[in-house]
Amino acid sequence: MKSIPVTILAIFSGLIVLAGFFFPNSFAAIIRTYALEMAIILAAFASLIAITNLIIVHWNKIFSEPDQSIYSAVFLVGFLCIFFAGIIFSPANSFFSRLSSSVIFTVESSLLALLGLSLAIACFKLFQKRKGVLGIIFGISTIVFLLTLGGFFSTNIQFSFLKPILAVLNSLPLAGARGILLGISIGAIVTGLRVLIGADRPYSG
Amino acid sequence: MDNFQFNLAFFIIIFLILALIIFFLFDRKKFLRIRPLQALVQFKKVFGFSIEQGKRMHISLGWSKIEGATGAASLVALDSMATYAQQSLLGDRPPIITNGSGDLTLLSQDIIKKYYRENNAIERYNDSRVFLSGISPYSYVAGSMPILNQDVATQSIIGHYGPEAGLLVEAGLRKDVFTLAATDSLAGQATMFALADEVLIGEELFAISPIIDEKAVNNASLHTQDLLRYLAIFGLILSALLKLVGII
Repeated sequence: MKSIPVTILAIFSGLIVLAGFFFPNSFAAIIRTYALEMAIILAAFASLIAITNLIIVHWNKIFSEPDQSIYSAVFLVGFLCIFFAGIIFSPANSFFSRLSSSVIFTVESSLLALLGLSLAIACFKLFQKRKGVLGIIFGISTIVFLLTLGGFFSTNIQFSFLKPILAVLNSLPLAGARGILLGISIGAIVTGLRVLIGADRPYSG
Repeated sequence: MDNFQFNLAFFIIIFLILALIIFFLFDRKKFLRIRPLQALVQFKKVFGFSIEQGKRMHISLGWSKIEGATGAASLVALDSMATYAQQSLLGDRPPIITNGSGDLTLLSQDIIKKYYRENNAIERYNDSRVFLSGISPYSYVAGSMPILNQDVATQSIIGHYGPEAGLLVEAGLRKDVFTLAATDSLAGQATMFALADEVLIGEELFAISPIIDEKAVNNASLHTQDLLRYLAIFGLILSALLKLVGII
């Protein structure tokens, strides 16, 4: 029963926001602005609740899963250090900014390096996993575009007949990306419309 | 109304007209059959085996906020989570759901609670199985990786991710976890293609809900989406040809 008024509210607010988008000088546009501001505030509160939930989850894990407790303990100590440093120094403080960014950048760079290594190994193993035509195309295009987009041909180019071939090759990734993005954007709009007409109800808990 | 607004309004009207025509006029059994996606078929098989063996599933929903530009991927993630969770919730080992934004956390907790309530098993609901694991892309992935140590056999990584999701897939590979991956980001798709066991490319992400839900409305919307894509391709080729011969 709870889902019927919620669905009506969701469809109504969706239609108002859409009307406000199409008619920027109308009354609906004013309501749209307020509705979006309210949504942003609600999302911020949702983040606070979710972070509190995360702390509780890790606190419970320390006692319930002894083999995993070290990760949860490190998380809680790190969180509390940054939280209290932020309260004492304020987020705009240069010391706090350096402290948090140096930790974040160091860890994220390490993870990025790890990802690079994993991807290099995955590329070598690719043909075991993807035995079809798509795998072969992916492998060949990776090698070809590493050479062409890496600048190898642009600096050593001596044959004029290569220029138009390279121009065509270089436009292929752009064309492919546009094709995929076109499909994704149509899919995204259709998904939004499904929520708008009430066919999908992600809020119906 | 500027050009963009006009085009979007035109698109929405065309979509609604086509969807209504397809939904009401076509024979659902004959014309509205959805082509199966091999990745989803394969994942369904492995997922079924893993439930029979009493293993756990990890459902990762991505880190995009619902109200953001990439919110559609999160909506698909929530929808697929609802279906997979419903099938495995009352098993020996219920699924663990992680996400990277506050609104996704609350919505996913709400959906899971609903299924427990419907099965008269609300006392089995546990917040520690549906939680936010990090709010930045890398912290989200780093927070989700230890979950794979909890007797997980399958994981679905559906939603908005960049290449960082490769770390989660790679961690799964080391633990023999079967992974289905789908994202709306191009860099994420390329990474997943190289690493994941099964991957969905491009708009296939938005076909997940109609395929696993099997609802007539979603089915009609998927056919309309396909039709609009063919129209867009036709329009692009036609305009390129007209430009080539100097008409436009």
